[in-house]
Amino acid sequence: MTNKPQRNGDTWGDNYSSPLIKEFSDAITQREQDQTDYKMQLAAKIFKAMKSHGLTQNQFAELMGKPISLISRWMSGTHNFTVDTLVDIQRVLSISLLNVETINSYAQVNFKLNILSTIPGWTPLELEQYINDIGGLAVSEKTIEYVIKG
Amino acid sequence: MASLYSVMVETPSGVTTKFDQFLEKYRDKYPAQLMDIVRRLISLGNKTGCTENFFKLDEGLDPDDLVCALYDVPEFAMRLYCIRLSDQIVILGDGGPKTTRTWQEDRNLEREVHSMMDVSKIIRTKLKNGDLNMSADGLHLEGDLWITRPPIQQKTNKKNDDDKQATA
Repeated sequence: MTNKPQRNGDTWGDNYSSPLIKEFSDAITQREQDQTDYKMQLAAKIFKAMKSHGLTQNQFAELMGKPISLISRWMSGTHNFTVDTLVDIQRVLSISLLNVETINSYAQVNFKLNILSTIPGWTPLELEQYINDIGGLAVSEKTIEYVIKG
Repeated sequence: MASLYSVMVETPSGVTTKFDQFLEKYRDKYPAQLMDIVRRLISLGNKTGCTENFFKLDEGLDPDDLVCALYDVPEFAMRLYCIRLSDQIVILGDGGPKTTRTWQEDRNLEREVHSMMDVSKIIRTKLKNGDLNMSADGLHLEGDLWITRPPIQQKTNKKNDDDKQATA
């Protein structure tokens, strides 16, 4: 805690810091704080989404089919949500609360495909036409060279 | 992000704050509830800000007094009364376990709510007449934060004064 502006040069209380707050703060583990932060941020996100839809807590309760007292608890940051509840909230408010999409396990390869014609006299346009006619890139390496650059 | 203030008080045992008094009173009997409250206050300050969903609004008797209470956990009603000036500034007060249907039925809670109503009235008056302002980023109170103070000549006898100051 830091103290706030003086008046008339009076410094009463300016050096005050709270040993009790420090004692409590020091006793909180990072894991506990992370859990609380997540619940609070979840509640804040739901509340913000509800507001952005122009809904009151009563209207949101009706849409969810839940009592208003439960909605208030959801918003308070003290509630341990079930996945089923979060899925329902996502649907009603069109927000993402659970990101379950997995990252593609295949290494993503970014490459540029350069196709060079080895057929003498073909223009790029003729080559493109030829590739389209045969249905893509299933072309013999003898006729087309391709280079993959990482 | 938000700033959480409390009200400093001069007591016979020295300077403290309303929030410290709250922690001191209940630390032995309700340590888990207090830890939960401190964790949530840290989240409010560092992560979410003090949006209205985190508070039981309209706890005071005046419709515009901004006196509210941090939401209780469902299992145990431990009231911490506050003044929510904005989404970014809240003044913490005192409170206690709520065992009656309304705070008016509990002398301790009634005293704390009225105390916050008194502080709120002074703070809102100062904000209205310009003695107190919110900083440009909305995170700080700037200006005259004295709520009551003894005359300068009586300062050597502060222990008997009811001297209060809002502080960060």
